[in-house]
Parts: sequence; structure tokens; C-alpha cells
Amino acid sequence: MISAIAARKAAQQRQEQQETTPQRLPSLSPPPLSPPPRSPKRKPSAQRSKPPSKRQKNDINQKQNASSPPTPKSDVFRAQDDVIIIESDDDDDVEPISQNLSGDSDIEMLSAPPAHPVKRAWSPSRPLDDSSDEDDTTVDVSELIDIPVRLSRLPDTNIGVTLSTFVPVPSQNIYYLSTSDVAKMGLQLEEKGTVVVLEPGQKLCILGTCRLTLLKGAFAINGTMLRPSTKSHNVFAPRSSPLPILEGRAGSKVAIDASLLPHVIQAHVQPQSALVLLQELRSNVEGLGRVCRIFDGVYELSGWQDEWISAPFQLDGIYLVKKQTRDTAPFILPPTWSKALPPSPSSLPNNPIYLIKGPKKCGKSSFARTLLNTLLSSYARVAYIDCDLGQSEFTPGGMVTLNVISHSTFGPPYTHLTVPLRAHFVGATTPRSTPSWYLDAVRDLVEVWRVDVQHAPVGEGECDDEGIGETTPLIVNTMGWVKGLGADLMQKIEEMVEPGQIFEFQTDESVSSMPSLHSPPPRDTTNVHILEPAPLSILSTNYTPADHRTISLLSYFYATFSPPAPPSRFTDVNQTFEQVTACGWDTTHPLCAIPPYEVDIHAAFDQIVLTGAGSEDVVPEELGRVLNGALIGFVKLDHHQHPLSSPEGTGDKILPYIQGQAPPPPSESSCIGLGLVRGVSFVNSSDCSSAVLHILTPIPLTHLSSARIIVKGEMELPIWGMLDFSSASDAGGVAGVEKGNVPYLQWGRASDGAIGAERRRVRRNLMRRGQA
Amino acid sequence: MRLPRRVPWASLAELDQVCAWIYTDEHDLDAKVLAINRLSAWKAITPLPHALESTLALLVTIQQDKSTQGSSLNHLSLRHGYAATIIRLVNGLVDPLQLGAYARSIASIAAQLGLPAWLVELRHAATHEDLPSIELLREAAQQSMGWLLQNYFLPTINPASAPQRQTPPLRPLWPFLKQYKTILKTVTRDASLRTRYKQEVNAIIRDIERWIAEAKVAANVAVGEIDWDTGERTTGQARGGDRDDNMALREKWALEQFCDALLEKGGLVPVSKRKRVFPEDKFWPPQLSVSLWTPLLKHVQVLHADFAYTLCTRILSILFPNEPSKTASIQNDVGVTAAAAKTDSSYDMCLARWVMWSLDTWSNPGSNFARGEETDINLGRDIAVLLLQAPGHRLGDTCAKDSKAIKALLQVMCSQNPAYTIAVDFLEKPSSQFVPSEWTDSDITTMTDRLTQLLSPTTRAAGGTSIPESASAPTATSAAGGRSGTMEADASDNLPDGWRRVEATDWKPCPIGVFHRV
Repeated sequence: MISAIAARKAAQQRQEQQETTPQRLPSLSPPPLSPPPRSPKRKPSAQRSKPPSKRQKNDINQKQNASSPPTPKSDVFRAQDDVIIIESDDDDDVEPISQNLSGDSDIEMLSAPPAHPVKRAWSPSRPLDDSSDEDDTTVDVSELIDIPVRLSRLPDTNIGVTLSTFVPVPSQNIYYLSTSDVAKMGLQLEEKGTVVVLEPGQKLCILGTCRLTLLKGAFAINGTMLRPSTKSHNVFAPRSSPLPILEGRAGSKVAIDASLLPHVIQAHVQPQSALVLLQELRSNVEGLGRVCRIFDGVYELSGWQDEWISAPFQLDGIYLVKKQTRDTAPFILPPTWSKALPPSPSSLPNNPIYLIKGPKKCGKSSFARTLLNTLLSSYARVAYIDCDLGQSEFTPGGMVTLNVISHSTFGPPYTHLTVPLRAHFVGATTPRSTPSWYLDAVRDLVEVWRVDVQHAPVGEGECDDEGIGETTPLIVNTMGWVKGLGADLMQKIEEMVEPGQIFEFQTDESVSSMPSLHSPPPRDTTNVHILEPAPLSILSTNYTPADHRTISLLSYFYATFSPPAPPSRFTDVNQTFEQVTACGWDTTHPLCAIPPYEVDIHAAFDQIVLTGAGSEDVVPEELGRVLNGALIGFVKLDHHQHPLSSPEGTGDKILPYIQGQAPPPPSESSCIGLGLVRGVSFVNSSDCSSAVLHILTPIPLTHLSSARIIVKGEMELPIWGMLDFSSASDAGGVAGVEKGNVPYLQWGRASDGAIGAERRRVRRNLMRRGQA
Repeated sequence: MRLPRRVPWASLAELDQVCAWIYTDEHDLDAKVLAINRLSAWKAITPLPHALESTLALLVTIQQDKSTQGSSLNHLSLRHGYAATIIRLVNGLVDPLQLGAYARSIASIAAQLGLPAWLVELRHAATHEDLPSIELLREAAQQSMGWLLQNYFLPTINPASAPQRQTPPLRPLWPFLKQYKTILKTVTRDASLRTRYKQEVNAIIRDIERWIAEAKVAANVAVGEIDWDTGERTTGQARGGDRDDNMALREKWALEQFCDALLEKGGLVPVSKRKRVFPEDKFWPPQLSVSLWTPLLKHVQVLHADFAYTLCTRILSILFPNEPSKTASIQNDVGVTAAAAKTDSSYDMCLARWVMWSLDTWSNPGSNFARGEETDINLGRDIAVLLLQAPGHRLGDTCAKDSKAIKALLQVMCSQNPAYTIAVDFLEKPSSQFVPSEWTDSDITTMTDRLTQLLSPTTRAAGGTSIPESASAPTATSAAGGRSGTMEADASDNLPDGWRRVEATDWKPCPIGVFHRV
């Protein structure tokens, strides 16, 4: 079996080879033919693109297409042929955190239909009616053998499909504006820009980053209608996520007086067409590609099939994608999704709680984002509770969060990290170690929404004239762990949220694995929408959930948040709901070269808590070791209490740590943000009289004064965050230390002879005797 | 660039320390406590290697046993503790080595690892039968500790001195192949027997699959001895850990072993020359062989994506006599060496036809092109390249070893894909046409020119993207008022109690986990 990571590895390797060895057909030049780069895994030659799936999956899938419905004959062996294959996620091979528990949310259970090799399947090119003796023999014998099936929904590769029907013609449907042209229009950002004229029905697919302002007319982006406004939207469209598609719709509303537009545009534009102003977005989000090479160059041309991607806008960092290339996929709004989305402001439901549930990898997050954007066209603000610890929408993983969002978001989660209104730090990417604490955390967030957010009046200036100011609806996105304990948790969340609308993804898996007795009887007031899973694309092969977690966490540590929130924000959450979102990324230095804060434990913290299975066995003498290099959550108590653990009289000599102590309950505390303990002064000494930590955190310090508890969970800093990408360390060392001597990192295999030197690895797709 | 992995120790000396605490003096309970505390802390930092996790569990259980001896504590809980520890130890060692599609018996894997067989039995008893006695469990724990010292601690701490483990040799594959052949012959001759033999066919195919899995485990040991063409792997592996490399190597080694056995006479090629009757309509192996082996080959290909390529390359390595010593590694179970087969032209021809069969079966350039199934197309291209490269311009030379098979194969491939024809025409010229010329200074200029030419498309593509260098200072961030968490002084900041910014003069960049202060 080839894991996705191996596939990527192969592709990457090939890419690097290709950079040095141009690939050609055999030619007549006398030197030896240049060998086409070949990787051990023999993946296609597309740069940075991977095969749709594992080869065998392809074969099998075709076969199944070809052989369905099963012929009566196949039923004879049906009992033996029923292969239950439990395919563990690629994730499991990569991400230690999610490695070892049955029923883990990262495990995918697929039941495979019986496989009956059919002649057609094996050699699709051969005509069906070719019935020479030889073929018959071959085929008949083949049917004797049960070919094991690794089934997955086949990524839908539509390479070459037209994505943009918009064909740029300068001075006809595309106009380049100077800074002064833009300044005249009275927009937020007075910078040069490009106006694109989209006729109704025309599509425009983009890659890269930009600011986008709809000046006139109407268009839909990723299925969300935008209204003309002088407000600009930040769009992040890396190749690692589905590319946004702008589609012109009929509309004649205007955001600015048409007379402010340059005359060339006024002269040409039809009344029904949409005018979109694109401007450069300089966030340095591309820099994250240096930090984590998996995402290197995702905002740029890939070099492969780049005749399909062009840069007609004369703006840096934004490209037009004409046709689908091998390593891109467009955003697709399945019909059941668009039907389920609330149609118009007039018919919004009374109970504005929207719950989204379904197994992983079916598009919950994409749908939630679309729903969020759609609701934002009706409401000034939308609240969003993320119960998915693995892939949160607005924060790095490991937290349950309540965010209040007022700006539409277009891009993958790591591009719109937002300071949550309230959050609770679980410290792991699944709630399996602390299920009841997790439920308490969700309950608390729902409570906060009900009491403080739902009916909070919208401040002046926060709301466009069209937004409904009175209510702030709530979207609850849930985790993809829908079996075993996960199903129990899901049910409890559903009960406490009391949703008015449930969006449930219906997949083959959920039918078979979620017996109906699990789901609570739907209440009369609840509307259930059944959604189809999002079509699988090449992206799911190229990037695993673990990759997205990694980039999200790293993005957090390199982010700059703006605007700096007023200090009052966290002392009284009810005052303001201004959205504080990351606006830029500073990747000048790797984490190991950023000067940290120096923090005196005794002065700064009242309590140090470890959570996670086995953490209760950490004795105080070893605490320094455990904190070193740890990812921590800063937690504050709602009502400042006296230090819980620092006994009076003994002075400050003892660390504020009590072995086995639980974190404060969610109802009384909240998490301000994350930090990285990049150094500890007392690793090797039991004398902790001057215990100092070196901490990195992107959170404005003013927020931290009330956070006097630090919690360390099971989550770790991704390896990428420990490496040094700066040019000084090309040889692979870190901060001047040579590769072999970097503490806490080990290159290469542990040792040839050592057994058990690897982390435990769980295989769930083994076929036992009697299976298959 | 290969990603490192995180370990809880700063250097191996720390692991050595733990090892000393545990093993230096069996009766030093204080040292054991230190080891337990240290391992527990490590476990909270990052998931531990399985051997260490088991060591921790064993230590804790033994410690508990010793400290309560004499007291009237309920022994059932101790027995449970021991039993769970042993079960997890064995499972954790064996599970990662379930490398095939079908489960192998735990005992067989344990034997390959050198794990005492009775531990495996104990695991079974503790899981499914009566809970074993405290005496037996104590003994098992002691032995396990010893095994971990020999097989994990010593080799890890001191890799050089670790003796090469002795593992049982790989079982020969030919009995399985023979059995397969027998069954398949029966079935192909009499179609009515198909239903009856279905079970057996499947059983034997699974046995063969298990053999491949076994070979993969054996590769663990063999990897050091084999001459891997490392050029393929060392470049650009930016992702994944050593785990993937390791797996790829094992898979490759196992498939090569498998192919070599298949390519013996009596395998894909019938022993009797009379049976090597080639079909006329296509360049395929004898019809009977095809119908015999197709099910197995296809089955293996489904489970091992690299099989087709490996098979073809192994065949080509046999066909090319000058291939440096590749055939030397075919020192196989059966004893019929490939060298003996070399003089046999119909054997070569048959092998060449198997290459063609593989290409026809697994590479379908015609159909599905639009759907991007180029993984398969690659097979054809890769093989063509190998074919064209290896003979070089020897093809035209008469001295070359009987290259009829190669030529025939090339011809067929050219007829399918005219693009190759040009190259082949070129190669077929006798090598006398290429007189090695004297080295002159102008040659270097020519080479430079060619290099520039080759590089030019790349540079043009790069020039087209006008993304600013990420190294340059990002304007957005500097406009945003400075990044928090850095040293940029911001006077308006009132730092929380106990927090201060590190002065740049007091600090310098250092790896995460290093505390630096002047």
C-alpha cells in the first residue's frame, strides 16, 4: 500500500529532479538519453501532482463500475466475498496523536462490495466482444480469485475541464486602474487595481491571493452571493484547497456612484454585468510555504500545465485558472448543498441554530464556511462554535471555540485564524481522553452564545444597512468522529445545542455504521437537511488532515493579528464583538530564531496543569522536562481567585504544580491562546527557586495578564516548527547546531538492529482468515 | 531533505542513563523509581517508541509486585497488570510487522523477531484463556526485560557494537509456486472444477501473499546488506519520516525476491522448450503460461503497485548480460540459476514476451487517457527508457550477446508507439560510427551552451511568477505594527507580571528546547 505521504514524497522528489533534468522525449542527440525521473513509487510525472489515488484503487473502482450491479452468478460466493476492509486513514501513519485508539475519529471504516473481476475491468482497451479462446481462459480463471479491494470514493479528476469561461480582453472586460483611479472611487484601500467585468453566467476561477471588491452588479463566489459594497474581501486561493470560482449573476445594484469610475469603463459596461475590483493582497501567506515545505509554492504557478493558468490581471500573486490542472480542484457546490442553504433573508428560520454533522472527509467544514458566508449576507454577525478539535476553522486545533464573525471568509482555515470570543483548551486533536470535559466545554460555549451573543445589539458601523442586526445566529460544526464514543458525544452535543436546522451528511459509511437508534428522535421544530458528501478531489490525496493541522498551527505562531484588540476586550467579553483576524505572516525568522519572552513562573502563573492520558504520572521533579518544547494553552479564570496551589508560607520555592490536577472547569475558565515553551531554565535541576520559561506566542501580551494558568495537553509542535528554514542552515542543522547534534530531534533510522524503536502503529485493514 | 522525528531525550546519553538505572542493579529500587519517573515524563512529551513504553509498563508492574510482596494484597490485580503488559508488549512488537494484506500468525512474526515463543503463547492465554499464574507472569516479565535490553537498548545506545541479529532464513517460495501451478493447471484444463477449487486457489494465493509479507519483515535485516540504488531515494524526500523510506525499501526487496523466484524456469517460463509455443498474433508468452499465471500476477499487482515495474526490470536485468551483477543477487531457493538459463534463447524470448504482456495488461495508453491514468502509462515509458538506455549503442554491434529478445521487444513497442522508432533507429547504428573524439576546450563551451539551453525553460517559467521573494520584508506585517512575541519594543505594552522581553544581546537563536541566556 502506498500512503499518501509516500505518493507526495515521490511527487516531490520527481519535481526536484525535474528542475534539474528537463524531461524530453528520446531524441537524436548523441549524449545518453536523459532518463525520465523515476521514483520508487512510480507516480505520474506531473509536478506536484499525484495520481488520483492508489493505483489499485483505480483498477478496482473501474472494475466495480463495470461489474455493478453484481451478476446473479456472483451471489454464489457472496458470503465469502464480503470483505470488510477497515482502511486506516493516511493520517494514522503520520500523526502520532491520532494513532492508537479504536473508534478514533481518524479511522475510516469502509465496507467493500464484493469484487468480481470482470474481463472488461482488467483490460479496458480490449473490445468487449473479443472472445478468443485465450481470453476466455484467462478471464475464467481470474474469476476464481478474490482480489482484495481497497475501496474509496475515487477522487474525481477532471483534468482539462474548463473552469473559467471568462476570457480576458484588455479594455473590453478587464481594465487596469492606477492608484489615482482607485483613489477617486473612495474605497478602503487606495491602491492600484484591476477591474474585471463579469457578464451573468460567466465564470472566473482564480489562484493566489487578492482583495476583491464588488463595485456593481452581483456575483457568487463559492456559491455565496455577494452584494456590492465598498468593503473588500480577502481571498486566499492556494492549490492546496479548492479554488474559488466567481460567477457573474444578473444584478444592477451599485456600491459606488458610476460616475466615479474611469470613463473607459463607464462607456463599455452593460447594465447587467458585474464590476469586480481586484487588488493585491500582501499578507506574505506564501511565506508559510518556507516554514512547512508541504505547502511550498501553493500560491504560485506550479510549472505544470501552466498554459492553463495565466496572469492577465497585472497584479502580483493572482492568477486566472482557465482549465483544471492535475493538482488543482475547483470549489464545487453539490446540488443538495445549495438546496439546503437558507434561500433568502425573508425566510430565515426562527431558531437560528445550525448544526452540521457527518463523518470526516465529507465536506463539513466547506459546507459550514459556505453557510457562514451565506448567513453573513443576511446578518451582521454570525457566531460559530467549532467542536472539531482536529481541524478548527478559526483557530489551530486542540480547542473548542466560539467565534463571532462579521467578515466573509474565502480561503482555507489557516488563512483566517481569528481570536475567539471564548475558547477552551482540550490540548488534543480528539476528545477521547477527556470526553466529559469536552462536553462541558461545548455546553459552556453554547451557554455563552445564548446569554451574551445571541441578542446582543449590533454596534453602529458594524452593520450594513441590509444586515439583520437583532439576532446573531449560531453555526455549530462538529467533529467527524461518528462511531462508538464519538457517536455518543455527537448525540449529547446535539441535545445541548437544540438546533433548528441540522445538516447531515449522508454517506455509505454513515448508513451502515450509524444505527438509527443512536440518533435522538428529531424534534418537531428541527429541520433536517440531508447533504451529499463533497466530491473527493485530488487534494485529499495530496494533503492529509494532519498536513492541514500542521499548517494551521504553524500559521498561528507566525501570524500577526490585526487590529490589535483593545485590552478591555477580554476583561468584559460582552462589550464588543470586533473580529480580530490574522492579517499577515512574518516568516523572516524560523521559530528557533525569534527572541522569546522570558517568563518567571512564580510571578506569572498560579497553576501549571498537564492533561492527557498518562500525564498524571509526571512527578514535579520532571515537570521542567515535560514543559520544555511543549505547546501550552494560556487559561484564565473568569473570576480571579487566589492561587489554587501555591501554599502560603513555603515561599516561592515550589512550582505551582500538583500532580494529577485537572484543568479548571470550562464553566469558570477560558483559553486565551496558545504558546510554545521554547526553553526551560530548570531542566536538569530540582532547584526551582528561579524557574524561568522562554515562551513564544503570537497573542498580544495585554491579553495575557489575566491568564495565570498554563495547560499542556497531548498536542505537540509539528516537526516543521522545530526546523530552521533560514538560509544559514542549508545543511539541515538548526540555528547553527549540526544535524546530528540537535537536541530532541533524530534524523534517520534509530538503529538497524533495534526492535521496537518505532512508535506503535495500528493496522486496521488486515484481512484475517475467513475474510475475503 | 528528510524530516527528523522528535525524541524525548536531548541526546542518547540520556537514554543511556535510563538504561543504567534500570539494568545496573536489579535490586536498586530507588534507581527504578527514577527510571519510571523519567519514562513517564518522556511519555507526556511525545509518544514513545514501543519498546520504551513497554519497558515503562513492565517496570511499574514489577515495582508494584516487589513493594507489595509479603503484604496480603490481592494478587489478581497484579496478575492483571502483568498480563496486560505482556499482551501489549507482544502486540506492539508484532503489529507493525503485519506488512501484507493478509494477517500472518503472530507466532511466525515473533519467530522472525527472535521473541521467545512462549511469550506469544502467554499472550494468547492471557487474552483468551485462564489468566496465567503469578509465577509464570513474573518469569515472563523478567525475560521480557532482558529481551528489551538486548534488542532495543543496547542496539539503540550503541549501534556499532550491536551484533547482527540472527533471523531464520526466508522460506523458499518455490513450493508455493509449484502448488499454485498444479492447482491452476487442473482448473484450466477442466472448467467444471472451478467451483470446487476456488477455495484452494484463494488459499494458495494468500500463502504466496503471506510469503511476500514475510520477505518484507526479513528485509529489515537484509536491508543493510543489499546494494540499493540509493540515487533514487536520497533526493528530495522532503516529507515523511524514515518509516516510509523503510517501507518502500522493504517492499522493493520483497518484490525482487518474489520476481526472481517467478523468473526461474518452471515459473513464468515453462521448463520444457516444447511448451514454449508463442502465439503468433501478439508478442505474448505461451498461451498456457498466460492463463496459468495471470490470476496470480494480477492479484499481486493489486496489492503491490510496484510489482509490474519490478517484474519488468528484473526481466530486463536478466536479458541484459552486461547489467552489472544484478543477476548475482539472484541466489535463490530453487538452485536453477539464471546464469544457466542465459544460453537459452527461447527462455529469453519468453521473458521478453512477458514484458510485453505486462505492458499490455497494466499499461493502456489508448483508453482512459483523459481520466489521467498515467500511472499506467508510465510503466510503458519507463520500460522503454530502460530498454533504450541499457543496450546503448551496442545494439548494432554484433558482439552483443544474443539480443534477439531485446530487439524483438523493442520492435513491438515501436510498432505500438512510433515515438520510440526514432530512438531505436539511432541505437541500431553500429557503434563504430561513434568515434570517441579528443577532448578539446571548446567541448566545455558546448556543454555550457547545452546547459543554458536546458535551463532556459525553467528560468522563463520562474520569471513569469512575480511573487516577491518571501525573504524580503513583508510589507503587510511591518505595516501591521510589529509582530508580537518578538523583541520589537512597543512602549505602550504593559507586560503582565513576570513577563519580560528577552534583550537581543542576552539571547541568540538556538534549537527549540535549548534555554539560552548570557
